[in-house]
Amino acid sequence: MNPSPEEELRELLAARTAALVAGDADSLRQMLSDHFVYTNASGVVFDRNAYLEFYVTSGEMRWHSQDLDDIRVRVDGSAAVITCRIHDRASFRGAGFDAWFRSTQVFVKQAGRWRYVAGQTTAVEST
Amino acid sequence: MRLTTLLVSVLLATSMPVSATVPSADPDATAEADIKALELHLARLLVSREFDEYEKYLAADYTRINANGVVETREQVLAGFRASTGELSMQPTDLVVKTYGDTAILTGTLTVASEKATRVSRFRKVFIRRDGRWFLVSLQGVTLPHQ
Repeated sequence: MNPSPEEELRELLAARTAALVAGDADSLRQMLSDHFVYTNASGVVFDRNAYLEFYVTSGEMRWHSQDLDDIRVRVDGSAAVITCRIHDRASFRGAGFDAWFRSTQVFVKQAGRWRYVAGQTTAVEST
Repeated sequence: MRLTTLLVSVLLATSMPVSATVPSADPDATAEADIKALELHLARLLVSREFDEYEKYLAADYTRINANGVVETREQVLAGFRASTGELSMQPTDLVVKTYGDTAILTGTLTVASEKATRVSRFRKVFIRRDGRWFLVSLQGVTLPHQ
């Protein structure tokens, strides 16, 4: 039986997290739309290349783990809007941190594949 | 390094205003113009407190993540608007639209001014087109630090 769109998207979320933690920029690049746009918790807007550079290839940011919970997937035709809570354990320029975020991730199905087209995060308290 | 200091460093470590230079994902000049016009219309409706009219543009499963990271439903958002008091102005700027068929991603900056304060936020909205009409399905915003 083919997976449902929600199952596909949950698998993609897990793959995205795995790629981020592994620092696998090539895998991440394939998941991101050419015109991907991401707004971080300070309101800085990144395109795909800037996102990959800042969060992966520069080496300044390293994820030790990223856990997602309270995942809500809403599929509307060829678009999907996912909200979730994110728990990052990471280091930036060598200094570790542990932080929680609320995130929206938007996916669009193009040529049979879900592509990550937009995302935004907001810092939140841990509880 | 304190966590808060580190987080600020991480979050502010770059400032690349790319939103104005990224081309449309699937260029649709009409849809882009429609979304920008709709965004301005929605702001006017909120300023004039025409919440019944505003409501018509919200999808049934509309979700907003507010500046504090709280997830709100359509009903919660509308109840908040209706309970609000005082006059304000809203000015959306820096609007950039990317369209993917019947899906549109809008990013922009919103300045909200009241008698007490002015707040600037960066937001991202998702619109879905159903039967030729655009509906807002998702909004997330973050308040920008004072310049």
